[in-house]
Amino acid sequence: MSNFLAGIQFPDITAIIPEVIALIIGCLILLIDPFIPKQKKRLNGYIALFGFVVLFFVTLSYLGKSIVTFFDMFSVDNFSTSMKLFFFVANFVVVLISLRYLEMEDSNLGEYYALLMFATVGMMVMVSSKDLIMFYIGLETMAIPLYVLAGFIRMNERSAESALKYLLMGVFVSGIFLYGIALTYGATGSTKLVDIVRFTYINGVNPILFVAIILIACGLGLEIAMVPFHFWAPDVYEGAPTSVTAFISVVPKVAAIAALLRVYFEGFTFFAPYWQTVLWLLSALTMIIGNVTAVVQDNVKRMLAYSSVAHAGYMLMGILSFNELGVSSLVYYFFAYSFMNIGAFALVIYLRRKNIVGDRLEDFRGLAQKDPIAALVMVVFLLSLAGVPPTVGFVGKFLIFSAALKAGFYWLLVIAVVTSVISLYYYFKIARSMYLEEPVADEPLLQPLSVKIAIFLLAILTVVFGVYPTPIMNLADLSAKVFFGY
Amino acid sequence: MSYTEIFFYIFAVLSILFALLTVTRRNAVHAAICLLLTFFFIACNYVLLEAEFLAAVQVLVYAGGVVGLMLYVIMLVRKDEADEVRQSLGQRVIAVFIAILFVLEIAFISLLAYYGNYSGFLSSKMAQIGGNTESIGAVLYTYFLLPFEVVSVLLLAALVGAVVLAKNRIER
Amino acid sequence: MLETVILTIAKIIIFFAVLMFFVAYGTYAERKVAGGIQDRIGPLHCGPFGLLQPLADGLKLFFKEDITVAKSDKPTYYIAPILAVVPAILVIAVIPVDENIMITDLNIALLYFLAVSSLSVYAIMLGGWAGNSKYPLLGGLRSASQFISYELVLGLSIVCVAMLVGSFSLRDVVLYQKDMWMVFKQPIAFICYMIAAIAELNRAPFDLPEAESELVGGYHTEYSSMKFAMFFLGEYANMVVSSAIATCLFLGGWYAPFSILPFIPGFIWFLIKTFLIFFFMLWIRWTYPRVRFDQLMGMSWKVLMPVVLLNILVTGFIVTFGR
Repeated sequence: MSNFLAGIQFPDITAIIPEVIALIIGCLILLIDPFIPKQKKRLNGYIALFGFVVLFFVTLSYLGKSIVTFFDMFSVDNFSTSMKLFFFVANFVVVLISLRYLEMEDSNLGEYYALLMFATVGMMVMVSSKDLIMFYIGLETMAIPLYVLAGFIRMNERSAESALKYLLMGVFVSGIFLYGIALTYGATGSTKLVDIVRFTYINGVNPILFVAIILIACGLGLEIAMVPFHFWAPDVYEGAPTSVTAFISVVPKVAAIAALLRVYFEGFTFFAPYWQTVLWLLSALTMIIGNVTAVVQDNVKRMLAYSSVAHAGYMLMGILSFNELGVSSLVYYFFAYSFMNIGAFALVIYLRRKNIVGDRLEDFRGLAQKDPIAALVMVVFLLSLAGVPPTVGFVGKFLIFSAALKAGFYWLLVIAVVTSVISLYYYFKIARSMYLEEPVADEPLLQPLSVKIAIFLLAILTVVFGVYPTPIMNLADLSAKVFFGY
Repeated sequence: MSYTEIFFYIFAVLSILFALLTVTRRNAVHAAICLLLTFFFIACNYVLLEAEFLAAVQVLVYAGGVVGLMLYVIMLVRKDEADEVRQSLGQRVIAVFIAILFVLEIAFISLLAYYGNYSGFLSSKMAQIGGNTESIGAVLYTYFLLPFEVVSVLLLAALVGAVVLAKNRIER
Repeated sequence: MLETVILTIAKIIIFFAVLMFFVAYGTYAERKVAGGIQDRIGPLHCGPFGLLQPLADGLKLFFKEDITVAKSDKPTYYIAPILAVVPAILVIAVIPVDENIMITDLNIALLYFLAVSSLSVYAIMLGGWAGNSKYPLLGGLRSASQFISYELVLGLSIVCVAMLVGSFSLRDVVLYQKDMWMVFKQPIAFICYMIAAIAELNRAPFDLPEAESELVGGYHTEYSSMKFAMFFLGEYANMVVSSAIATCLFLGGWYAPFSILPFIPGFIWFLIKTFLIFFFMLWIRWTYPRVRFDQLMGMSWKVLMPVVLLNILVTGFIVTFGR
C-alpha cells in the first residue's frame, strides 16, 4: 500500500476555491430557506445575486494564473477562468429576471436558486476539467438541476412535460457520452486528456477513437442543442419557466461547447482534420435546420429555441476553425450571445402578466404603442441576434466568420452567411408585430422593476460592447492563448 | 480448461441469456426479474475475475437497490395495461445494425487490450497492494478525490430536485 | 483438491443443519416466550414441554392442500417463496462461529452480507405482487420502501464498525474485539443496527408489511402449505442470521465476556450470544405495539440516518486523530 501511494502530492486546494464558495452559497440558501416567511422568499434571490457578485470578484483574481492540480484532472487557466466569469455574469442576470417571475408563477422556492448554484458548480467543474470522467460528472451535476428547473412549475402540465422530455433525452445522451469515454479508455488506457494526447502521439491514430470522438460530440450535443440532438429544444424551451429557458438556452450550452473545445483541442489534438470534418457537417446542418425551421414558428419561445439551435451552429464554427482567432472569437461570441439571448427572453418575462405567458407572437402586437422603450430594446436584441451592426452580435459573428475564413472553410462560410440572412426574416417578424400592428386590449403590463433593470443592463451591454468590444476582446485573447500561446 | 474457466463460461452464457430475456419479455415484472438475474450472474463473473468488491457492490446497488426501485414502480402500474403497450418502434433494422456495430467495437477493443498490453494500471498490481477493496479506497480518496467530491454535489442536487418535484406544493 | 471439496461440503451441511435447528426451535421459543410474556404456558402437548411442536407444525404444513391462485402470475408465484429462504442461507457462508470454524473467511464478508440480504426484499415484493390480490400488494410495496430505507441505516451502522476494524472480514472484526466488545465502543451503531435489523425482518413493532389488522396477512395472504412454510422459514432464518451477525459485529463473537469462564469453547459462547439477541427480538415483539407507517419512515430518515451519519463522522475523527 505504501509504495503504491508513494510520492503522491497533496492537491492544490486553492484551485477549487470558487467552486467551493458556489457550493457553500447553494447550501446556505437551502439552509436558511425554511426560516424565511413566505412573503419574503425573494431574500433567497438576493443571496444568490450577492453570491454571484462575490464569485465574480474571487474568480477575477485567478485571471492570469495557471494551475493544474488534482493529478492532472483540474486546471485553472485563463480559458476556464474567463468561462467562469461568463457564468457568473449570465447567472446574475438570470437571477435578476427570475426574482419577480417566480412570484408570478407562484413557485418562489429557495430551491430554485440552490439548484441554479449546483448547476453552476457543475459547469465550473466542466470547463476546468482535464479528464473525461471529470467532464462527465460535471455534465451530470449541471444537467440534473436543469431537469428539475425545467419542471419547476410543477402544477403546470407543459412544464412537467418539458422536464420529463428533457430528462429522458438527457439520460439517453449521457449514456452515449459514457460509451464514448469507455471507448477512449479502452483504446488508450486512460481518461486523462494529457495521457490521451501522449498515447496518440506515440501510437498514432486509432480507429476506435474516431468513433469515440463522434460519441463524445453527441453526448455534449444535447446541451449544445445541435442537430441531430435539437429535437428537445423547442418543446423544453416552450414548456419550461421562461427564466429557466433563458438560462438553459445560454449557460449550459456555452459550458458544453467550452468542454467540447477543451476535449478536442487538448485530448484529440492529432485528430484535428477528422473532427473538423465531423463538426463541419454538424455545424452546417445545425445552422440550416435551426434557421429554416425558425421561420415557420409563431411562438416566440419556440422561435428563439430554433434561433439558439442556429447560434450553436455558429459557435461550432469557432471550434472547428482550430486556430487562435477561433477560440478568442468564440469566447467573445459567448458573451455576446448571452447578452442578446437572455435579453430576448427577459422581454418575454416582461410581457408575463395575468393568464398571459407572453410567448405568442400576438402578445408582442403593438408593443411600440403600449411601451415604446421596451419595444426599442427588443429591437436592439433582435438586431444583435441577427448580427446587424453596431451590436455585439455583429462583432461576434464577424470574428467567428473571419476565423473560419482564416482556416479556409469557404463553403461553410457561405452557408453561415446565407442562413444569417434567412434569420433576419424571422427576427423581424417580431419587430413588425411590435411596430406595424395595432395593440390588442388586454391586461396591462406589470413592468416589474428587477426585470426592467436586467433588460436595460443587457441592452446597454449589447450596444456598448458592440461599439467598443476591446474589454471582452482582451479577455478572449487571454483565453485563446491557453491553447495556442506557446 | 480449469474449473474457473468452466464457471466463467456458464455464468457468462447465463447472464447473456437473461439479458436477452430482459428485453424480450412482454411482462414488465418478468423482465425486471431477468434483469436482476443478469446483474447477479455478472457479479458472479466479477468474483471469478477477482474483483470481489465490484461484485458485492454490483449485487448491493444494482441487484438490491436499482431493480427493487424498478419493481416498485412497475407494481404500481396496472398489469394488463402495461402488457398491451407496444414496445417496438419499428426500427428493427437500424437497431440490429447499431447493435452489431457496438459488438464489433467491443470485440475490437478487447483484442487491442489483449494483444496491445495496455490495459488499466490497476488490474495486475491489485494483489500486491492488498485486496481490491483497499486499493479502490486508496485510489478513490487520492487520485480520484475531486470527482468523488463532485459526485456528492451531484447527489445533493438530485436529492433536492427530487424533493422539489415530489413535494405537495398546494399546502405551502 | 478433493479433500477440500468434501470438507467444505461437510461444513456446509453442518452449518445448514445447525441453522435449521435454530429456525425450528426459534418458532418454539417464540411461542414459549409469547406465552410467558402474556402469562400463558405456550405449547405443551407435543412431547415433553411441547418440544416436538415444531416438528408437528412442519408435518401439518406439509400435508396441507397446496393452493395456487388461479389468476396469479405463475412463475413469480413459485419463485417468491424460494427467494425468501435463499438469502438467509447464503449468509451463513461467512459467519465465523469460532476462530477457525467457518465455511469461508471472505475479505468482503460484511459487504457480502449486505449484498445478499438486500436480495431478500424480492421475496416479499414478488410474493405480494404475484398473488394478484390487493392486500398482499400493499404489503409488498410497504415492505419495499421500508426495506430500502432501513437497508441504508443497517449499512451505515456496519460502516462504523468497519472503520474501527479496518477490514470487511468478519473474522477480523471479531479478533479486533478480543479485549473490548464493539458494543462498548460503538453503542449508537449497535442500537441503530438492532432497530434496522428488526425493521428489515418485518417484525413487530415494524411489521407493517404483514399487519394482520389492516392487510389480512400481508404479502403471504395468498400462499398456503409449503409455500407459506417457506416464507415462515425465511423469516426465522433471517432472524437467526442477523442475530449471528450482530454477535460477530458487536458482542465479541466467540470471546467469553470479560474473559471469564475461558474453559467453555468459543462456539458455545457464540451460540449463547446469538440466542440472547434472538430472545431480545422476541421480547421486543411481544412488548411493543405496532408503529404507524409514516412514523416508521420518519424514524429511519429523520432520526436514525442523521444519528448514524454523525456517528460515522465522529468515528472518522477518532480513527484519524485518536491513534
